[in-house]
Amino acid sequence: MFDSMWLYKLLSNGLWPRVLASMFLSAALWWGIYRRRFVVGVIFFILTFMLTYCTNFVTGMVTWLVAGGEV
Amino acid sequence: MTSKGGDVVLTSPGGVEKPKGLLDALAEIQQYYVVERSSQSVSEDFLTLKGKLAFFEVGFKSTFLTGLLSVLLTPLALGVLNSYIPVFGTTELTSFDKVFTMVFAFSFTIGYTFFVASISRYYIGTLTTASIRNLFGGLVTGSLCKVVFAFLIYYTAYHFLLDPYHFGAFCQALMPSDRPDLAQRLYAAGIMFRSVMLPSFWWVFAGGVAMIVIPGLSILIRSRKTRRALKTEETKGLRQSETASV
Repeated sequence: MFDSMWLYKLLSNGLWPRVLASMFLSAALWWGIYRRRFVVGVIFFILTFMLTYCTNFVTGMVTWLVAGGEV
Repeated sequence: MTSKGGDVVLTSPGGVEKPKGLLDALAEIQQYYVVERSSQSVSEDFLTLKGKLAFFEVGFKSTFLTGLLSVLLTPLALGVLNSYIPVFGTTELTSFDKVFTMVFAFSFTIGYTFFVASISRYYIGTLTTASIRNLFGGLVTGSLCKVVFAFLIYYTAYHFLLDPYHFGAFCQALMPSDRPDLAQRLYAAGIMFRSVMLPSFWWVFAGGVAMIVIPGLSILIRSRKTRRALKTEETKGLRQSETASV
């Protein structure tokens, strides 16, 4: 069976969620302010919010999706 | 705007086109700056009342909408700083986490502030200054409205909605009577949020002041530099023409 726990561990703690959140926030500012694509900016902003404040939920969802519904 | 044989002609039948967003407004201002720098200054009336209102509206909207995001996210950020709320799955915060949550709460405010401050060097000429003044007027009004809105939200939450007496009664009424632990947890969360409401207002207030002061100061300082540079260019041009005539 596909072991998806590595992905959970990777996303739930340490460097990677912080790097991803910083990238998403930069993308939100770039698209939302500079490129004036409001919807894209909002999507990146929501992704940043979810990764920052709802880490366990997001990592659980991603792990579940990658594992094809089996964790 | 077109150029005919060296003369720059402003061709817009109904005055200026309505800028849709901040970027459009900045682009318009840059165009006015180029025209007024290379030729004579254009009358303020070219902007028309509709154009003035359009610039004001862009400034107001962009400030107020970004302010709403700050109003929503600041209590969360302060909750993180006080270790009430986990961030990146933990309440053991690193320096990065503390800085990131505050930057996240004020990201759009910071972005727009520096974006608006970037137009400060164009603050010369009649039409350009009129456009910038209207945009800045909208920004100031938006900031004030944001601060008033934050005051109403946070003070209502602190003194009424999350007041221990009212909120306790609300929790008891909302949660099933056989699960008192749920009501207690909700009550504890509410009281925790109550403690960050008043500091949140002061953070939003400081953000609003910064959004006015930074572009204002930038206009004051950088427009002087631009004027000085233009004067130096003019005197150089005069000298060159004098030497050529001699």
